[in-house]
Amino acid sequence: MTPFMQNISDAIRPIFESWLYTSGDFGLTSTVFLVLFVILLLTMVQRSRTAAAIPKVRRIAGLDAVDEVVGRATEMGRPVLYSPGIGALSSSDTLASFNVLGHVAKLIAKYDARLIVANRNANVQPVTESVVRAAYYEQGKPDAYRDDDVRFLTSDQFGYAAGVVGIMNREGVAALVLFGLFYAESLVFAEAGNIAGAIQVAATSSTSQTPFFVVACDYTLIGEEIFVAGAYLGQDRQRLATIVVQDWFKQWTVAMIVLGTLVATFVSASGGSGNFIIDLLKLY
Amino acid sequence: MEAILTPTLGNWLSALITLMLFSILYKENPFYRIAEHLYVGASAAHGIVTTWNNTVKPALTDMPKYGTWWEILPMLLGLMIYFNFYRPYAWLARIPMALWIGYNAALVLSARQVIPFLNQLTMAIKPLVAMTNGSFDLAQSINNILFVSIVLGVLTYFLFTVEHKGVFKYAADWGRIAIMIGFGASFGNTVMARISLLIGRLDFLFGDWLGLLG
Amino acid sequence: MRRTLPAAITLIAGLIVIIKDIFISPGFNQLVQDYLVRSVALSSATAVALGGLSLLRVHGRRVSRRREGWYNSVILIGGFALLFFLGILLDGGHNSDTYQWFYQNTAVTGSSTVFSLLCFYIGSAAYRAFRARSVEAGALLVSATIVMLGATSIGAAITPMLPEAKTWIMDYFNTPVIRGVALGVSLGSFAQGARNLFGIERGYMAE
Repeated sequence: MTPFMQNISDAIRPIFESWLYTSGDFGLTSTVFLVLFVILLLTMVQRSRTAAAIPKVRRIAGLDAVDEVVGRATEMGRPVLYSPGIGALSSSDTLASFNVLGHVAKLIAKYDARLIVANRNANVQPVTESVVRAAYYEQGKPDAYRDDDVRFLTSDQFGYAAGVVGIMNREGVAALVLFGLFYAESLVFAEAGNIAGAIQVAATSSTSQTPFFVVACDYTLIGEEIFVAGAYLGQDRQRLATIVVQDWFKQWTVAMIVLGTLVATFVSASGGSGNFIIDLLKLY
Repeated sequence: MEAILTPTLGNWLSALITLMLFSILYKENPFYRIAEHLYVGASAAHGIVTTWNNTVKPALTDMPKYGTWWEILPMLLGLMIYFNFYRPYAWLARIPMALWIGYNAALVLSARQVIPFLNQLTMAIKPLVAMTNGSFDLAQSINNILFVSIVLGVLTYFLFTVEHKGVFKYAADWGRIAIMIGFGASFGNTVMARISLLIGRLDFLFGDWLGLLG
Repeated sequence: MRRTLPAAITLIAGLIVIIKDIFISPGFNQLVQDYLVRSVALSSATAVALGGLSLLRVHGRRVSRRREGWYNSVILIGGFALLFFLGILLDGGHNSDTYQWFYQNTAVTGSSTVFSLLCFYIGSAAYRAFRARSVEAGALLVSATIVMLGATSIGAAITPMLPEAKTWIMDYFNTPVIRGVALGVSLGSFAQGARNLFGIERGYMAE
């Protein structure tokens, strides 16, 4: 740390260290970040409830594919298989998946097509049932909902994969929608799905599994696109407002990296050491 | 029971299931179906059995011992999920779901998750002019420029409220290409690990089962 | 009532966790661990049989209505019942020798077999990507090939540059890509958590 920043850090440390949690660095900055994030998010959501304009979200190709594959499966008169991944409710990917599932289920209900949901986590199962039932209810077709089609298979990772492969083949699935947290079984779904003749759209935030989806699936969403999916597909103003805030913080991240790099370059070229941008982030 | 359930018989059962599941590589067939259904059924029961034996049963037996009677309440709350099977009262199942989702959403949105984020951010900062032992290091400088430009390109690619036009288009396109190269590396890095899995299985078939390997 | 109560439970449970994570307070932390975390664990545990019941319902109906492939469903129910009753009734439960014999030779075998299928699938996936012939697929495959060869002794035998190229790609392409993606994923994940916590997203309550 530069001496100047060190002095500031030493001065403020006693104020926070007895009550603010930190694991080494970032105790103060992470809290300020979190509070600002939540305040801005709630403010934007509030604004979106009025007629105020909110920035537009650009086109995301992989997401447009979701509607397309559901439409194609409907035309073929064959079911769509949806997997919310293998994550528990503690995974943000799983939480994001419910929203996409709701959208897919609404389309399915509207077109009178068939949707099969396969679950691996026993606590995710009832949530997906509720989401799909709610979608049928919203489309005014509560009786068209088939409880056998939202299924739990097994909590075993590869047992789940084996079961999904079986369903894909036996039920003549036309489209595979994979949104959620996936581990090594991702490639089993994607490849076996391809062999079974199903068109696939996949999304996961897991950087270790996205490469396999990119290689094997027809459409793949990368990284945080899964968290934008629900808002984008439903074009829901409140949810889109949260994407705007997410983007502001991304722009701030870019700005910090650019500024930090400029300072680091200047310091390095002049033979010095330290970087006050990093120091500022690590203030306490 | 142990007299019947010998290791040899176990190897035969195991080998049969292995071959039946491998048969999916040819195409979906009745043998695969048998193994798949047995596997799914057995492993589904295992999940429930271990949860019962490791969590529910000890909690119930500990209640009189430690007086933790309050634990009846969350257990009953969990049981409310079964209202899901009975449509008129299905909404009651939302109560345990609401608890789980609230708890887990907060784990996702927590200051403790912001800390690794900020840490990653600082690790993306590198000097574009790198010095080694007081003199200019060209190779390291180029590598640093590459590193920072990729992080920025990838972040630009993920900007959703900014149209990819002009400088943003170049940055986002660069980000996209870098993503493909980076993901290719992950893919290549995994191939060897996957080959060793197959070797492990073949080792079982030819060694433990058929006894062909020394 | 049907919507307000669950929304309130979600918000209160979440805020407790968020507050616990911001402040240093061993007493409060212990209370949260002892009651909230324990409640989530116990309620999840007693709810876990819902999955099994759903599975048995699907396959039970298939058997009783003699639908196509119903005999497979008999096998599934049989496998389920066997491990379920052995695990609950035997002394030692799922650690007993008899249980482990069945478990190891069915589920554990199944797991390692399906996992090893990936070796074939990774090959067929790479072949398809190879045929795609787009710039992106090309970039991915070239980098995958270099890294794969660079990690083996064959690669080093071809040219010592391959292991070096592998290290360079891992350090200056793979690492920054994963860092950039992870930064965005974190932001998306925070927004996701906030949407669930504040009830902006609750599709499961629409009915």
